[in-house]
Amino acid sequence: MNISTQDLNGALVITLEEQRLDAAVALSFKEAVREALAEPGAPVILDMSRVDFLDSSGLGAVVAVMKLLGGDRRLELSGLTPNVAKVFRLTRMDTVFTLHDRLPERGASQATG
Amino acid sequence: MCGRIVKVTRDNIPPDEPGAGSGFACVFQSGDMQTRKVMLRLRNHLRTQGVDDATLGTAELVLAEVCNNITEHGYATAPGPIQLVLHCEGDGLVCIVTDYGVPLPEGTPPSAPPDPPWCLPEGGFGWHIIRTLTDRLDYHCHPGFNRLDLRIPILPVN
Repeated sequence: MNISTQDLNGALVITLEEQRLDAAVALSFKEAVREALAEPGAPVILDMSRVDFLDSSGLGAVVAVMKLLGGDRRLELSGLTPNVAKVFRLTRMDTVFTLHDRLPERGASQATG
Repeated sequence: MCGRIVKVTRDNIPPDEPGAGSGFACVFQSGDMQTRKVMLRLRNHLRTQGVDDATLGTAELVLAEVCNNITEHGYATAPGPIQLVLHCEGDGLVCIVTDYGVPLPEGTPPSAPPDPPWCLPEGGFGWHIIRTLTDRLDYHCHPGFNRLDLRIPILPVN
């Protein structure tokens, strides 16, 4: 599972550099993100704009990451493509995440709260 | 009746359903990576058949969930063959998935919804997704094999 990280005005952005977050990579995704979380930054924004397929195992892995963060740092999601957004909507998990259409521009103020 | 497991080879897997025509049919070994490869082939096939992106995404999701369940539960102890047969019929995609693993516990797909979102469930979404996106779902366990018939509606493109 390839991911990359960047600092965006104090937020930690984790970008999935893969087209699929499915049962085949759900575990390695969790492990890769767990390592990336050693870097500072809040909130944590998961950039999913390159992911065009998510199954329930992938969804479970995203939820697991949210739990991993505990109450200290918030997990937000960015760039859900139509097929990915559909899975969040069907399972109503879209109601528990803050969703961004796209990553805020570097230099733009980050929403807080 | 449910529960007898027969070792099968490619030779005694039931033949494709009549009418498959320009449909999609394959037999593959259970496993997450194998499912992924078959889903990519299916996606390409449906695209060449002119199926719209939304339906294509739905079919890929539903069938991936079905195959993941078979891999995880039906063939929990050892991988085995999964047969996938699909064709367009009217305003739907008709699919038949056959496996030779352990049947579903109640002899029917679970119907309980996943835990509410605020409980942050990490699983239990699969059958909910499958049920929501299909308009026909028939499961039968036969001596030695299990068969799931499902239909995914093709929605009119706006």
